[in-house]
Amino acid sequence: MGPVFVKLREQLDEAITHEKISEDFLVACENGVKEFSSLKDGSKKYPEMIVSLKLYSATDSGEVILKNCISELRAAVGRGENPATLNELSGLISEVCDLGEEIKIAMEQNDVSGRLRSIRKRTFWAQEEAEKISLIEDIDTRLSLVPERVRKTFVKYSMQRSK
Amino acid sequence: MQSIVFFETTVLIAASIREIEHSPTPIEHAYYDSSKGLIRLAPKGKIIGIISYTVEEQAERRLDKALKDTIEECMGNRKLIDADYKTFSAILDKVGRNFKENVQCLDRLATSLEQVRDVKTREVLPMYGELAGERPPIAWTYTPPLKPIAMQVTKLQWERYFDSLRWKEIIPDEIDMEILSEAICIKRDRFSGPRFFLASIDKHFSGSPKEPWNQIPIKIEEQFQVLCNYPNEIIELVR
Repeated sequence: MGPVFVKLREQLDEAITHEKISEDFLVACENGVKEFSSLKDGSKKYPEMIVSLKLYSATDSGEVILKNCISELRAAVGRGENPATLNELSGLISEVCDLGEEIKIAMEQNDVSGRLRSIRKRTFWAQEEAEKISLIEDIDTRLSLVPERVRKTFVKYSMQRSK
Repeated sequence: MQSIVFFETTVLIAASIREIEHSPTPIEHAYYDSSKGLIRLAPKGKIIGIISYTVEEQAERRLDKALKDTIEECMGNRKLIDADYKTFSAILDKVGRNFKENVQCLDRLATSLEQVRDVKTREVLPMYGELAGERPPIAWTYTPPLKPIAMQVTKLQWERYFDSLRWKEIIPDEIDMEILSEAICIKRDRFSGPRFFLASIDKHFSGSPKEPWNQIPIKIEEQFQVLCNYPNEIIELVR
């Protein structure tokens, strides 16, 4: 297991137990962001394009979600807030932690194809949960930025097998 | 009694291709509305919607292939930069999430690989062969223990038979024949009573007005009691 995500999980558990957003926990989150960023760089090196894109999507989602969680948590600390924000985000951070661990194991053990289905499942769950609380852009907004020509080309190819 | 609808790969794909939900001019698959409409009947209890592992796996593969072809067409030999990754992963995620949502409405049923292969070689392939005007060697109709011996003796005839079918347009590819065989096995093993549809927008299953394609769904129904049809037609029939 990647030590960064193990450490993050330990810090998350401690934060939940003590109902406190500690500086150590926020640092562990920041390290998680850095780890996702490094995994994202690694994802682009995969020769199989679709595998590379799926890993990119997973690592990018993890990175953005965790980054935005840190902003929310820091804002909560600034407000001297009780652990409402921590409680709201803990499930998501936990899932993002699992996602990061799984990607790291997959890459280190050269088992990306065997774990891709599970990675995708975790990615979708994390994206959907983060969208619900407006932590990340929703998928339709992301898609609206894709040039129409590209989207039309995709639809064209997806219809090729329908005869 | 609820009708059973076995969703074939093409319908599962069509129901996943609608890109921006609330756009007044959505870019979508030509069969999106009818395919999605049919899937939506499953959670409402109007139909029992089913798929097989092969269908799910093939649909995912074909969606991946469509994206790969899109990237190749749009990018040529240019290397993907960060913005391209964002662009293409947005399409991948949207379609992947739609696909997941659709699959969650359906039951994935297991089949015996041996039984499916047997149905494919002994029943499905000869049926298509007959539509293509070719008859299988007589050993086809033998049962074990005579069949392997008969097949060995008539090996040359077999090879000629397969060669004669290989280039016929009406013969679906191996995977599609396997999918039809799975549907047949599922019907025989679990749903002998109710109406059993195979929803497809592939003319190898649902046919087309032209001869001999128009005979395909008739033949499949006659031989296997599986009603192959387009999703919009099935919606009308199960209402």
